[in-house]
Amino acid sequence: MDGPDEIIHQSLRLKIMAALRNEPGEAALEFKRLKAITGATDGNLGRQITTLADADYISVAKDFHENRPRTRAKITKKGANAFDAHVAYLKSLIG
Amino acid sequence: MTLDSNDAKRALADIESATDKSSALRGYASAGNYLIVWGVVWIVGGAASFISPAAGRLGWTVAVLAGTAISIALGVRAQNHGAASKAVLGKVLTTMLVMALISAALSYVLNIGSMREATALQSLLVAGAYMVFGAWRGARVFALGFALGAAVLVGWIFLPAQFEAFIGLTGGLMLAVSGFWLRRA
Repeated sequence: MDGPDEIIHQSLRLKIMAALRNEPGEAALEFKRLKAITGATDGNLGRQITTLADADYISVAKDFHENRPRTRAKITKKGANAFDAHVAYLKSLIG
Repeated sequence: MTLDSNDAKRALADIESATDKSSALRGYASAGNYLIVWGVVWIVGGAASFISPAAGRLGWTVAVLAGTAISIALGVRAQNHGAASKAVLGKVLTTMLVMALISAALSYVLNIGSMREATALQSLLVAGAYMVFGAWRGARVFALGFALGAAVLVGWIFLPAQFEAFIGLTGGLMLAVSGFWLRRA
């Protein structure tokens, strides 16, 4: 890889991508789980999820579960490849 | 955008932190169902022990067999739904087998003869297993193991006559409540 992925590298987006990449079978994660992992506020997390979704790095699904609205995010193939490449780039910087 | 090695180290540390927390929360959520099942097992065993020693032996045996079968079914379901890797079911079964073997071996070596002693030994083994597992995978599971072990000692010292019923009901409630708490992680 030539350089860093500017979309992924922002701190909160990096954590979101790391959490989603860590799911077995690249399963979807609920918004509240992402919030617990990242420690972000609802508003900031929502904005960064939108940025990642606009880049097609993640897909977002909204539905109702147990009579409550639920938002789930899932890493896409493009996102997984971009994240792996970004991690490889970071590792190359520290030798 | 230009990054240096310090930026890279910070970013990799963020990734590691998010990954660890994600794994811990996923572990909590999947462990929750098992804890609820075994909480019910302990409550049934404790309630049966409250009736009579014979009922207690029967109650614990039936409840443990049912709990084992349900745990295996949960493992198979998690595997089929992709929520767990294929290795997880094997690890669950291996853990249960190891616990049963250690319990049987210790009962034999220590010449454990009463239901009270057997219940205390098995409860302490379970508490120890949660603490060891928790040390690796999450503080909440460690705390549960610690509380369970403390409850065993409290019951052993202060409620010797009602020990089996006490530990079954108290430990069972701890497990079940912890299971619901972890499932919400």
